Amino acid sequence: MLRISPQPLHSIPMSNSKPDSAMFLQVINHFVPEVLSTMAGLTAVVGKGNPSAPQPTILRGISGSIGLSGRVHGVVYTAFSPDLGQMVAEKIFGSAGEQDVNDVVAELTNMFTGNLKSMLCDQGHNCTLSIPSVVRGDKISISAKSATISVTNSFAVEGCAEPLIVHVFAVFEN
Amino acid sequence: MSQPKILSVDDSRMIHTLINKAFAAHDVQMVFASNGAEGLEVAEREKPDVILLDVTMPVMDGIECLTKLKATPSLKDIPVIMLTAEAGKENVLKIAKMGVRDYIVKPFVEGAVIDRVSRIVTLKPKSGAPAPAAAPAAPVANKKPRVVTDAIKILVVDEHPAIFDAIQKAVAKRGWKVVGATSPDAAQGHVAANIPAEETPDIVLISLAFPNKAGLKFFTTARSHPALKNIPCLGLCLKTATFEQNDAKDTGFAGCITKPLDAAEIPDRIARAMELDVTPVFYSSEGDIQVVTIPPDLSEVGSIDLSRQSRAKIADFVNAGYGKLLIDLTGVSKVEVPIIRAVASIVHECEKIGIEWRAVGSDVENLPNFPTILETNLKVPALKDLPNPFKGKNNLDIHPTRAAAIGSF
Repeated sequence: MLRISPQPLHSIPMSNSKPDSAMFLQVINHFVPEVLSTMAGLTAVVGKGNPSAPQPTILRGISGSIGLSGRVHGVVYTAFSPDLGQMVAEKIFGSAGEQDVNDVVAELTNMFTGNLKSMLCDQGHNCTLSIPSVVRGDKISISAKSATISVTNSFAVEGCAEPLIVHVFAVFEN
Repeated sequence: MSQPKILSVDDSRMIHTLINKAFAAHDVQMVFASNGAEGLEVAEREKPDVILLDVTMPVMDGIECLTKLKATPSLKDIPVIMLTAEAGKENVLKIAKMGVRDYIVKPFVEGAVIDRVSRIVTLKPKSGAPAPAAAPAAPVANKKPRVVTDAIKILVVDEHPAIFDAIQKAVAKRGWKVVGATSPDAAQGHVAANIPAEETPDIVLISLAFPNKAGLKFFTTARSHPALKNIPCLGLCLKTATFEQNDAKDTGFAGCITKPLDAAEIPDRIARAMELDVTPVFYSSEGDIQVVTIPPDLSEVGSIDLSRQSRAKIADFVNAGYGKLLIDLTGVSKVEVPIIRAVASIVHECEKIGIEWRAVGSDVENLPNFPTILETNLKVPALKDLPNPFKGKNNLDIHPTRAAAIGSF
């Protein structure tokens, strides 16, 4: 499978100005493949991305979410199809039950979000993370009315037909 | 030594599984906790040698857990390595001030965890288990043994001239030659295929911050030169640049030197990467006495290598007819782990091989009592493997001058 190199971090502006949608996309485009490759040995092809994703958005499958609060508020959502969640969990655990899949979805979401948080904090937008939560469903509607940032991208993961979806909502404190 | 005990505190079973897998080939005992409160309980009960601690967890997070660990007399000395996805500079600095030993950023590779833990405890392969992965540095096959006093040529590739200057200054005491370049492109001239072997560098120190992993590519290209196929390379990066460090290790780097640079450690890190015999720096002879001079700024890496290589060195001297050894601590006024390890290892070798030894120091009044300080510090995980040659001895006589020490034989 063709592997697209993740966005190099040095090209992400490190000023104290408010990061825009493009920067959020750059960050997830960098860290999602990095995390999947390092933790599960899976390559991921970065999709085109949408810097102004419509609301509400529908997620399907197993969705992890983590809240950001502080100088920036927001939520990072991930959505794994059952097959994708199972495949990634089995890469890590060998065999994996539902709780194992949930655990992997939660932890990977935590890694994506933790690295996003680090970038935000380094730019002066300190925030804390919530504990990850995981829900399952065929039609999970997500929205954040006050969000000024609503970005999404899909990542085609080696060995699975359904992509991983990552969606970020954020709003900065004035 | 008993098995090192490692406590992993994380709310993710996935992390516990990966940590367990990482240490599977090592003779360690793993214990686990799923949040900070449970971590404190397990730490109190199990008294681990190292704690790997996550930050974001339910019930009690890693910060509160760390605060409580440091406030508990029976737990405060247990080294803690934070293992977290949150690596913002402010976060790292805040946690560093709380007394953590190290910081691993998620995502992490198994090698990074093994590497950090092995800096605190001695990891031995499990008997019957396949040998753990070899160190990434490619050993130089059929090489002529090299010593630290050889003329070494170091190529430093870093965009900041101040880094070049700092490295040049740090290795000046060894008389090593340093050449520099501010980019991988500019450094090509030092490793081009048409450069005669005698003019190529002996080791490369290269920044990992160049765009598009240019530092790693430079290393790979340099090794395609037949004369450089085994050249060791050390990365230069920030301590928090975990991705870059992992990439470097995966590419075959011998290790990384983190910024800010520790001047005392640089020559030792280079010596280790090149597998140099370091003993000529420390050992000399005076009449029929062999002298080992311990510098006050002995680094951790230097101490480990000196201790490791002293056995053969002392044996060589004894074979050559020397039957007495003098440990020179002139200039040493503060005794920390590197010096304790070096002195205790050398004394142990002397006792074992049956030669007389004496110690000399210029700050005798202020030097602590070695037997006491060693007894106390043997509880420090980094010294757990150390034999105690002072057992049963109340004091170590340190003579104020070399003449006095030699006269006492």
